[in-house]
Amino acid sequence: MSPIGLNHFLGLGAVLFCLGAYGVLTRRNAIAVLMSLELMFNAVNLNLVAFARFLPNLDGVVLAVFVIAVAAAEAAVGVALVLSIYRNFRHIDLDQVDTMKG
Amino acid sequence: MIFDPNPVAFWLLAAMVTGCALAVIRAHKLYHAGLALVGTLFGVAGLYGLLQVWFLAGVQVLVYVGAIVILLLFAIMLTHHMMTPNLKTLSTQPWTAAAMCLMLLAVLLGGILSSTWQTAPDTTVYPTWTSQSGFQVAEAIPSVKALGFRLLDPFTLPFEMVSVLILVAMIAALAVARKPPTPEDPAEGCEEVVP
Repeated sequence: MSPIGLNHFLGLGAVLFCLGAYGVLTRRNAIAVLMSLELMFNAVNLNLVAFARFLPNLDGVVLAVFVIAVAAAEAAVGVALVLSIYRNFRHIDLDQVDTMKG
Repeated sequence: MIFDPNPVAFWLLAAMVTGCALAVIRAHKLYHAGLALVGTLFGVAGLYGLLQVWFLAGVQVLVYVGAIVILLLFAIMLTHHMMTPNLKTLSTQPWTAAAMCLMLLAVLLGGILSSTWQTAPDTTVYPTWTSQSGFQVAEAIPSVKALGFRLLDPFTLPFEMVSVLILVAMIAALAVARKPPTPEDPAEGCEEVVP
């Protein structure tokens, strides 16, 4: 088997990012959209760590730690918003949450 | 020495990550999507391990699998009957979205393949694999140690800002998810004691 280089990890990150983007675009359930967002965060993190490992430069790992912290904060606020939407609408179907639509 | 990950492990982990990611975005039952997300996150943690960034693999399992996925599963259980098939999960234009994502993928892969990266030979910051002695655990310590120094020497301000951000996010999550006091419910928010 051919040796694994930086391009393999970057390609896997690109595939994972596009799968997450597809989920964000097509899912109607708010929690499923949040899950797809986590996939995209992970793709970005994978790229950062691969760069940090192959270039090599430790700053990519530091940035990945920051991204994980921000993702945790995002998930907490996102779940709070989902629960708030559920309390007001009794569902979390994003296509029907259009009260502010002009 | 050029860093050379194990190809078999890489392809196995890549298959695990993409398969579970497909399950996350296509599963009909939301709870199954959450379980598939656990598989994806463990696969990414394995890839970090394959890259020999052990600290981040641990952080991935602790923060993502241990905290974020549990939070999402709690949200599923609070808003759904757990095993209800949720067939109307896809929007009305899945093929447009698929075409856009495929175009994005083509652009990204084209950019990756047409670039040349200035990869350098491996340094001693990371632990090294030798076929005679296995993992040299003693050299894994400087990796985390170097990361800690890196966090506190040039990245002090972002490090502190992230802690403030997490505090703000925690307060914001409480403020958003909290039940708003209604006018006909005087017990909420009224603390005055009637003698």
